[in-house]
Amino acid sequence: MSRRLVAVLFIDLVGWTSLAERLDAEPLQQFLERYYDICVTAVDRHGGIVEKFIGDAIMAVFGAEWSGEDDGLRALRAALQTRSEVSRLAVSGLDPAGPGVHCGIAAGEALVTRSAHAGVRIVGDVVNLAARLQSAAQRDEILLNEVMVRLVRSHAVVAPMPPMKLKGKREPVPVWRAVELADASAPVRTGVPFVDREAERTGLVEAYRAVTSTGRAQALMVLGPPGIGKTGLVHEAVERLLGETPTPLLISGACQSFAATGSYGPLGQMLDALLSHADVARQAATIRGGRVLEVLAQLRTPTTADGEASGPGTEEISWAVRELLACAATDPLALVWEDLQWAEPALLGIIADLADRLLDHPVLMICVARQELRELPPRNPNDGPDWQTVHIGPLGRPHTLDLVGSLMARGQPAEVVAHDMDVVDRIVDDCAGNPLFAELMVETLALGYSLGDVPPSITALVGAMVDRLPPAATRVLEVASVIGTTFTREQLATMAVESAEGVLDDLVRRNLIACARPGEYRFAQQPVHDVVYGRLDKRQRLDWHRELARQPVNRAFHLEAAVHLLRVLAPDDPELPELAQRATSALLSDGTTALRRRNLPAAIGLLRRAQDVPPGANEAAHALVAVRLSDALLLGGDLAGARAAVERVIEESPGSRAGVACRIQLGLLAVRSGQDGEVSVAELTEDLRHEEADQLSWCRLDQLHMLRYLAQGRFLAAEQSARAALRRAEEMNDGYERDRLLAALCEVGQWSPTPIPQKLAFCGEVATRFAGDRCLLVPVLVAQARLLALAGRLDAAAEALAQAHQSVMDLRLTMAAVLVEQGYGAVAAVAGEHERAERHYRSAAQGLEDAGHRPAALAVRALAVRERVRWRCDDRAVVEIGALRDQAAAMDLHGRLVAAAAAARVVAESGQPPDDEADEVLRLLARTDDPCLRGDVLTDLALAHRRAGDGDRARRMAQAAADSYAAVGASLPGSGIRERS
Amino acid sequence: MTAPLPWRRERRAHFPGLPAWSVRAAMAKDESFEVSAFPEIDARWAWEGADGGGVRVCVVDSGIDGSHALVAPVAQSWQVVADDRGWPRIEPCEPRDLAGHGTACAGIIRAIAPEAEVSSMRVLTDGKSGTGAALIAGLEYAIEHGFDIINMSLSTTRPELRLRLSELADRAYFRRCVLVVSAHNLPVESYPWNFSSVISVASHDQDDPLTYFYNPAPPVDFHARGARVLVARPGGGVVRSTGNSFAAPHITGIGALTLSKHPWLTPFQLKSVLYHCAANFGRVP
Repeated sequence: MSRRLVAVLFIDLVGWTSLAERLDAEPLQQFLERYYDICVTAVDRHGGIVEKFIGDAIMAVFGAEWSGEDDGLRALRAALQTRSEVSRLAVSGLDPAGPGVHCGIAAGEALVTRSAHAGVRIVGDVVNLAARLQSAAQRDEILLNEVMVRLVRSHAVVAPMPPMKLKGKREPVPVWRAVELADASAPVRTGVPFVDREAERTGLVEAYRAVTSTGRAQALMVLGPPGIGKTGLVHEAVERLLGETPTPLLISGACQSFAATGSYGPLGQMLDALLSHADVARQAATIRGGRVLEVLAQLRTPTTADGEASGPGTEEISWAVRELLACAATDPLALVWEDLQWAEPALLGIIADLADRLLDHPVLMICVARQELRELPPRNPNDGPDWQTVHIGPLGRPHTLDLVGSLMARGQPAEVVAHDMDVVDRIVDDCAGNPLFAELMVETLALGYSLGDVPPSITALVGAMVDRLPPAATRVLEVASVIGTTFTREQLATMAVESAEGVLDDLVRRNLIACARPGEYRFAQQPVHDVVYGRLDKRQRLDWHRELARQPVNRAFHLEAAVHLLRVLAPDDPELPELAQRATSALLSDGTTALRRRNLPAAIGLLRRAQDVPPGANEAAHALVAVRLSDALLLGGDLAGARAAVERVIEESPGSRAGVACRIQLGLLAVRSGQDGEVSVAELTEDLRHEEADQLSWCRLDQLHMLRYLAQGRFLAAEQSARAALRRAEEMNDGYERDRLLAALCEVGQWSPTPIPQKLAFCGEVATRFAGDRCLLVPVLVAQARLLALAGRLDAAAEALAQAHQSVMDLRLTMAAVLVEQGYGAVAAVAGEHERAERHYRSAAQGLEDAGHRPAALAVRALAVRERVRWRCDDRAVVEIGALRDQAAAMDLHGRLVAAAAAARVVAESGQPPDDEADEVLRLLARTDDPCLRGDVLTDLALAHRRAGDGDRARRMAQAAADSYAAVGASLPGSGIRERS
Repeated sequence: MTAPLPWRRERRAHFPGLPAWSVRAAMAKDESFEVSAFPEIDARWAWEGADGGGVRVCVVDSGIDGSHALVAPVAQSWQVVADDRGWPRIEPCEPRDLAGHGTACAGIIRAIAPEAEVSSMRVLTDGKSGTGAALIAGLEYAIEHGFDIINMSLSTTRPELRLRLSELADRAYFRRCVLVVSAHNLPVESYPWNFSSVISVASHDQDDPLTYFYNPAPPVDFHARGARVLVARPGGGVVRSTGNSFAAPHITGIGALTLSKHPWLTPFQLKSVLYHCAANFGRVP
């Protein structure tokens, strides 16, 4: 049982009812017998099977038992033959127009089953569609659906009809009418640009030159997978031969995929072409008293229906052909045999024999076939010419790019187009150097389908290739398609598939798969994978995906595929929720790993897929997926997406646990983007009151507290919240949350009132833990550097920064580079190198502005100006302080304090008492517990008061600053203030 | 026999794997051509310290997503719509971009010239394609509205549009509005990038956004970064893309930097300054 692309043909007599009324039962029966006979013979002759008779209507299927890649075309041929033969049925007493038929042919995917009592059965919408098309068809009309048209377009003339409203179809269906078959002798595909293959073309021309110079035969076997451009190459080369002197007499013919047995393929047609040359015909007539022509005439008579074989045997035909060719080969002759993979052994024998026996004649023999035909029947190696084999492989990427580019340009209907190449790139990737695939994919796009849709012609082509495989190879290919577009021999082995070297090699040779490294394989082209997978019965797919989900590789992918299949096959299956749960967890786990590695596109993709798995019983995983996805999107700079990811869950399940976790995430996002006011922590806490077990939500709520305290300047509280969150992360054993919180704690520690030695020890521990991930390490190193500087260990601080800087440069971390600049500024400031500190702070502020972090940028700019004031209180400093003070509303507390303290110094510098600014600083200071910030701004106030001549206040401020530094153990600025005061 | 001068030689076969008209940077670097130089003009003179401030750029494309962090703000945004009689009409619209192409171009300009004022004229009304009538209406409007630089990463192969586009390109040139237009990705005739009145740009394969090469063999004037460029994607985030589409906005950005520092440069002077600052420009000893 499998899903296959089939063509379904319905044939029905016109006016059957009135015929039945007018004819007596006996002649009616006789008529019907002849009618059925015509239909069955036509279907049979073109390789279809009659699935059933419905009164006077007949349903036939092409491609059900085996795909011939031209199933659509054969269905059409059968319909045309039936129409023509039925119209010639003479029925006495009927009107002169005679009997007629109307037909409908639809191609599409259907499930093909076989059973002992019912034979072959076709299940699928395509059957209904074909029946509807047939009833819509007028007398003598053959109506086709769109897939049929895409399959036969290059072989038949079709005319579009107005879209039809068909019974049982919601939308009008596009319909075409078959007019006639295209001229078979014309090249099948025209206008496809020919690229590259220069070496092969030259090789063919060289072979011809050898023929003309030596007068002896040359034989070439051109091999390659379907669509690779063998025919195009040979046609191009032949064009060149016709420009050579002497010009060859060119005879060519192609085998058909389905031809009546004993017909010798294109031989008859090729010989006719030869005999059309009068002198050849005249000479041939003289051989053995005309026996040659006699034999050839019998060859061209089709086999009779009753299979009576009274014609000449293969030996006689071989002799006649040889004699005829020898007559013709007085001048150079080029014989081209195409599609020899479909040739009968008898024809192959004749060709091999010809090459041997015509060795002494100027004949160039070119045989074109797919790889499965590796050589002609064995012959005596001393006899004939050396067969030269030309393998045609995929086009190189640059040439594929050229080909796809020009195909796109040719089919470009738009007047104005953008100059990007996204679509071109995708087709180049997917077609993997196969020109036919490229052409069909471009055509698919031009017809308005999306890029992922496999064109039906490719489905037919690949399906036919798979059907010709030995069963063991088919099995390997099918299992491989479920494993993925790439697979290993080991994976096949775990699926208990016999994957002997020979089978895989055979598949490689047929260009269905390619070997990437020993033991590792991939499907040759994306569509090959898609077709093989698409042909599998969905129940089989489900079983194998489940089986593969037990392996460690790609578990998430297989579980996910299994869930989607089970939902379609058995939506009520009791196992579905559990399977969905496992799929979600596996995708979440992979997504989180990608997120920890900061592979954002992968993380976002995996987590989105996790979100699309239908929720099972475990809401916690569902919430976690949304929260992680939101984190990943935020990290990628997509704030709106980060919100949307959690808002979706809140809307879907407002009161649930998942809903609460997502609302907390929304709060975190609001605080991060400076919209603190929108968050009601009390409400969230209330909602969580009865959910003690929901560790994730509590952990995230603690983080929300932390962020809010940070924004408020309450660093001890922030530190405590971070610690609480860290404990929960550790209890949950959630490495992702833990790492985030460890980094956050190091950063918060720079400003909290916890003693510096304690914080340094913590940073040291974290640095050891993060040693393997330099990206995580950078913020820890920066925090460490600042703390070291405060503790007076400037050399160690410089070392930590140098290490951070190196990581930033090596890994090209833009935002972390800004952080390192800030670190340099802070250390230089502590060291009293104010000019240098100003420079670093300015650069950091610019970086923050470029990235759109305005409040942070303003705060760092305030630090830069403060540093300037400390070394040169000039006009620029005055102007900048003024500008910053105007933007106080957009600044955080830290920035406002620094700017106000710097303003106090500027005011004092101009000789005024800095009373207003000092008041403002003291008022703002009451709101923060950052001891070093406190020390810094009080130091500025002390200096301002001293400049303004208020020694008393200056001393008091200096003492307060020194106390503040001492409390936390900031010995270096502490000693500085003592010296100055 | 000496090699023909670059501007006389046969069109070079294009480099496999790159858009048509483009070059490998390694080859562009080594291409030698004689120059008459103004020695004081170099990149330092042209744009060092400049941020694009005061320069008005219009991206004539598929629209711009004004909410994207790497692109915002979008100063003004218009689109071409068909009126009752099917004639194109310009109307203001929300800064949005469903196809993503204009957003990608605007992001490149913003990254190079952060303070430039960027506006959007949506003429690609059907994904990444549109009609000639919409292009002409949108371009004419942008030229009339006094933009300093118009970026067009698009073209038409229709000969019937050639004359009208050529008139518009000349009008822009005389109004001191610089048209920076990307070359087609295929070796076909299309317009308006191959007019002498515009600055035409194809790709090179290096990653540096400020590295570009002068091309002495017309019709392409410059080769700028256009392969595997990380570009802004509508709705947030970035994606890697290739095409001459992304080379043109690099030159637009660099042009905006230059004009913000030297606002009185005319289009012909700007092209000349860009020529002097190209990475392959040999200094006269």
